[in-house]
Amino acid sequence: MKNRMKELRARDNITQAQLANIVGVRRETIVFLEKGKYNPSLSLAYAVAQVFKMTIEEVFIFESSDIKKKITH
Amino acid sequence: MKNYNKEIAFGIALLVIFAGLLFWFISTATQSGLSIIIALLIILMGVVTFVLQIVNKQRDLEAGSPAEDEFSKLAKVYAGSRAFIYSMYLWLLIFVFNSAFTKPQTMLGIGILGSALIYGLWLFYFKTTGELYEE
Repeated sequence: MKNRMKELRARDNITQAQLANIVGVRRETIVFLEKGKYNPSLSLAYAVAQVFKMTIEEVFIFESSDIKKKITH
Repeated sequence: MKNYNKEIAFGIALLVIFAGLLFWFISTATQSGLSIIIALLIILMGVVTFVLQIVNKQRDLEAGSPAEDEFSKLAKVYAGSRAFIYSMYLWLLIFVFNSAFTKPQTMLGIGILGSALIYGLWLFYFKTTGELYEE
């Protein structure tokens, strides 16, 4: 799952450590989130979206191919 | 902020009981040199892991970062499940080659140490790569 976290952090001038502190996770978690390696829980995704004053769908891009993968596997 | 005092006290109590049992095991039975080395290695590994955990948690608390979050908890769960499966293979190998061990204690020691190592390695893998899911 792709996301716009890096772009939005740059826009709001927030470091990874600052974002991690605000949402209450470790910096490594933010790193893995930005790389798209880790899918956040709904509450973490909501918290991140709240920081950027956006909705979850605007920050995290859930592509139709992701859904197909989930259905077929 | 979570208080880790209870966790630390519980960890120390477990370590003392564990170390005590191992020392009793070493002192009461006539053990081979290898058995004693393995037992001491298990104790040392437990102590080192415990001290490292305390140091890391303290450092995180001072930095204002949580010692654990949803990713690190999930990494532990994944590492645990993988380690369980791989440990099965390890125990299978140990029992297949049981004639290579002179004493059953050595066999058990290698099994326990190996299982702990497998868990540690998987945890390290998941925490460094962040790849919890298979695409």
